[in-house]
Formats: sequence, structure tokens, C-alpha cells
Amino acid sequence: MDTRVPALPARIARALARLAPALVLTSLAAQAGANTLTQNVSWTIDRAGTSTKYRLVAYGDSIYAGYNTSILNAAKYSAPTVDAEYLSAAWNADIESVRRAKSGAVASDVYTNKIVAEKSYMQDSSTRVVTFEMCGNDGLQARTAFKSQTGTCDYSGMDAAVSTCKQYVAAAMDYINANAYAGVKVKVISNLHYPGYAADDTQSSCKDASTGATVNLQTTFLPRLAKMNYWMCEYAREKGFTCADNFAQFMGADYDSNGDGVVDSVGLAYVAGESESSYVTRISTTLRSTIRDANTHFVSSGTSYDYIQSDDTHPTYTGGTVTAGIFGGTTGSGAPRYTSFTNGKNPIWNQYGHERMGWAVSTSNTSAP
Amino acid sequence: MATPPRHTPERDRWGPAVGFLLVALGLVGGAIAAWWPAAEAPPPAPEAAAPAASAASMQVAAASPDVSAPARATPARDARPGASAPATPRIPRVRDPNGDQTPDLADYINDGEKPTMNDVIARLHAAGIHTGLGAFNPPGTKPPLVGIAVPEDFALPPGYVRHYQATDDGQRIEPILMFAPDYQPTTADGRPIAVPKYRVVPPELAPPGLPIRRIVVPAPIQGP
Repeated sequence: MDTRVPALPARIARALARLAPALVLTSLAAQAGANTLTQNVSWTIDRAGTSTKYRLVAYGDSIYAGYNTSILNAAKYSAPTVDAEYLSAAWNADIESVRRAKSGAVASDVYTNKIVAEKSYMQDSSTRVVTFEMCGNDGLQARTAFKSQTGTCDYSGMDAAVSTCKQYVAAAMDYINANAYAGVKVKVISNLHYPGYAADDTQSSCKDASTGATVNLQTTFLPRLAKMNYWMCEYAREKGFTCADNFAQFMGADYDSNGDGVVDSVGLAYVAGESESSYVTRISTTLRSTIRDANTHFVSSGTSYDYIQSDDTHPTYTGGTVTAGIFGGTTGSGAPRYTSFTNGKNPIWNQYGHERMGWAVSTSNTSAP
Repeated sequence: MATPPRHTPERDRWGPAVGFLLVALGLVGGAIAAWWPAAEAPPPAPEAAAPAASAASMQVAAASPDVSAPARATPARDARPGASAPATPRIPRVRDPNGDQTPDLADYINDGEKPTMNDVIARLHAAGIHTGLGAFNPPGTKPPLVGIAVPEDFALPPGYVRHYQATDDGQRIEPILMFAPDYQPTTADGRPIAVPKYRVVPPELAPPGLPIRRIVVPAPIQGP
């Protein structure tokens, strides 16, 4: 019996041949594009009594975007704009926070399509601060894929995410160093908190090849996240950046909970010059008991704040929202909420995730522009 | 008169022709329209009750005589009445020449549509996409905890915590009473009591003198 498919008429075959490239391209575009959301915002802290203006440029994903579970708007005071408020007071100037962000973007996307493609924003002569964050979505995707595994556990996806993160963090710093306005005074990378830390305290569906047993997700992910965070801070040290250690700021209490004589958030912080193994061991083992889900960030033994929104991933914020999403972004300005800062901290510095992150970034600010 | 050959090298070159490209775009547009929920289409089941969600949660908070069962509030973002805006802005189709030129979610939404993030994530998952926004948890995965209000001027004894939360639209939620992480509550005669879920303190274990009142999660506010 002849089972061959009858040949298509020549004209239809030619038509399909011409149609194929377009169909393939648009199909791939649909896959690659529909899963990210551009959320650009330019917000100027308009300080009274001055017209001098400097610029802070922030590149990143949903964290710097101020993602707030909406496709229409975002937090006005995401971390970079919080930092702009600190800068405004320190420099007695208006500070334009230019946030070029894409929610859902992986490190390669942030690097290629925000930092490189939108380099003009950091090349403006008013730019004094450049900050970026990335890799969170590489981690989220790798975690999602691992959780869905059955059979024998395959750790290669998570390890690849760590490797990719290192690659693009280093590339981003090199690119910013080579292309930002020469007068830039402050360059900062923000590392990652661990979203869903408590939810990950459960067993995998897959089984480890050597033990034949399921693995604890939190124990599996934590050292890999620690490696990402280590290299963000270590590359920062090597390449003239500073590192806002958000892992320590979010995941450690602001008091000494284990009686070791060190405030937890201080004990978890990256130490300049330490080795990867030193940092990862400290985070994953030695001080593991002091790590808490940022849903309950303890500022004292009797007071805690939820740093995480209802999606169990993104930082909380205050100060309202601005249009940022499918209808475009916002360019606007407003007076600062706070004009002076006792000990370099606003009154709510430890009460919301973005306030905490913005303060952490601000600790790298210089005294003059 | 000589008839030109039907199959010239030029005509056989493999590549998109303008006419066919338009056909392709039409087909893909149709597919995306089918993939994306139409504005008039009924929302998926989880969103069907969304407009009443916030009110419902407040009614539960206010009317429930049982304040002993700690609960998580209904997701605030789901209750945002986005469709009631007087005029729906149009999605900009021209990109910033100094910006990222790659497509994003906005390129796959028709004018007049305003899906929620829950819609977006559900549709991405339905299409088998678990990357990017598809790797995000939907809003409401871990909604705010609801428990006994703790006035700012009430001095808490050791073992208790004043816990502050915020809504997804940035509103402060009145603090609730929780047990400290390592605290073991006991009965009057010293017997240990099981720590409630999420460590939210039930009325019967509240410290003496604390007025028993359950907090209310603020209703969502309309964004810009």
C-alpha cells in the first residue's frame, strides 16, 4: 500500500515556502515577546529652592520597575526613585530618576535591550548615578522548571542560570564602565532577595540521582542564589561598582536573633574580598537559621514588616503609583516626601521592601555630585 | 508574441513576498486574537467574582463573629475595577527610537482590552509559557494576613509581635498581632498550646487588656 502523502500542487507549495519565514518569525516573536512588560518611568524629585538637576539611571527588570501586579501601573517610589530622594537632599538638587525596566526580562534581555540598546540615557551629561539589577527572572524560571521535574532531578537548569547571571552581570558592568557619561560618580548593582523562601521549604517531586530521595527545594535553591549574589557583589568590587546587598537587607532581621553578637542583617552581608565558598557556606549553613522569609522582616524582636506583595515575589512600596505598562510610561515630577534624613535614613526606610532597597542603594551615594 | 517563462529565478527565490507577508500577519493576528480573551468575552471563572472580592472580604471581616480563625484576605488587585474607567487609553504602537525595540506584552493586546495580571499569567500558562511573566506567581498567591488589630500605643508583652503589611497598591494595613517566631504559647497552668497557622494570634490567646477587633484590609484604590 502506498502511504506517501500526495504531493502538494506546485503553486500551493511555492506559496507555503514564501509564507514560512514570516510565520516562523512571528510565531517566535509571540513566544519571546508576550512574556515581558516594558515599564519605563522618569520621575524627578523636585527639590524646593534649586533648579540644578542631576540624573540617576536605573536598568532592570520588575524589581526596579516597581512592578505591583498590574500591567497598567507601577510604584512611583521603586528603589531607584527612593534613592533619588536621598540624593536630592545630599546634593541639594533636583534628581531625575530614569527607570528603564522590563518586567519578566532575564539577564540577557536586560543587558541587550535595556543597558546596551538604551545606553543613551546614561550618556547624558547630567547623569551621576547608574544602577542596575538582573538575574531574578533567570532564577525564577529555573526554579519553576525544577519544581515541575519528575523522575531523576536535573540540576543543570539552575546551574546554567547561575552561569548566565555571572556572564551578563560582568558584561553589564563592563559596558556601563565603557559607555556611561564620564562624570558618573556612583555605580551600583542590586543583588537579589529570595522570594518564596518559606514556600520553598518543601520537597521536590524529582529524586536525587545519588540518594534516590526527594530534595528540599529551599536547600537546593539557596546556595545557587547565594552564588549569584556573591558574584554580583564580587564583580562590583572588581569593576568599580558598589553592591546593594538586598539579600541581607531583606532576609535578615535588624536585631541579633541568635545571640552571636551580630545583627542578623549585618551577619548575612557580603564581605568584600571573601571567597565564594566562604560566602555560600555562611549563607547556606552557618547563618542559615537567621534567614527568614521577607514576608516577616523583623526590625526588632517585637515588630515585623511584610516586605513582599501578595504574589510572594515582589517588594512592597508606598507613595502611590504611576502609569507604567501597556499604555506606556510616565514622565513627571513632584516634591520629595522627605527632605532631611536622620543618620541617612528616612522614617520608613525599614518598613517596605522598596524603601529598604532604595536605602541600601543610597548608602553608596557620594556627598557631592 | 513570446510568453515570459512562469518560473524565473527571481520568482522562485525563497523569501517572504509582500502579499504573503500580509496574509501571514493576518493569520497570526487572528491566532493571537483567538489566544487572547476578547474584551466582550466572559472572564475566566476565577475572575468572575472579582469585582465583589474586596467588599466580600470586608464583609467577612466586619460581620464574622468568629475572629478566632486567622485568614488571608482576598487578593486586593483582583478587585480593581479597571473596566469601569471612563475612557480607555490606547496602547502606543510607536516605540521610543532611543529605546528597546523588541516586542513585549503590549504588542499582543488589542486596543480596548485591559486584562489583569491574573489573566496574563493564566493565558501564558495555557500557551505553555512559564518564562518571564509566566514565571511570576499570580497576585493573591499569599494575600495579607487578617487578625486582631494592635493599637500603636498598646505595649506588647514578650512573645508577641506587631506585624505590618501593605496592599499591592501600596496602602498600609493596620498591624495585626502575631506570635514571635520562637515563642511557645501555654495555657494558664503551663501546658503548651499548638501555635496557630501563620502564627496569627487568636482572640483567646491575646494578651490581657487588648481590645479584640479584627482588622480590615483597605479596599483597592484606582491607579493612574
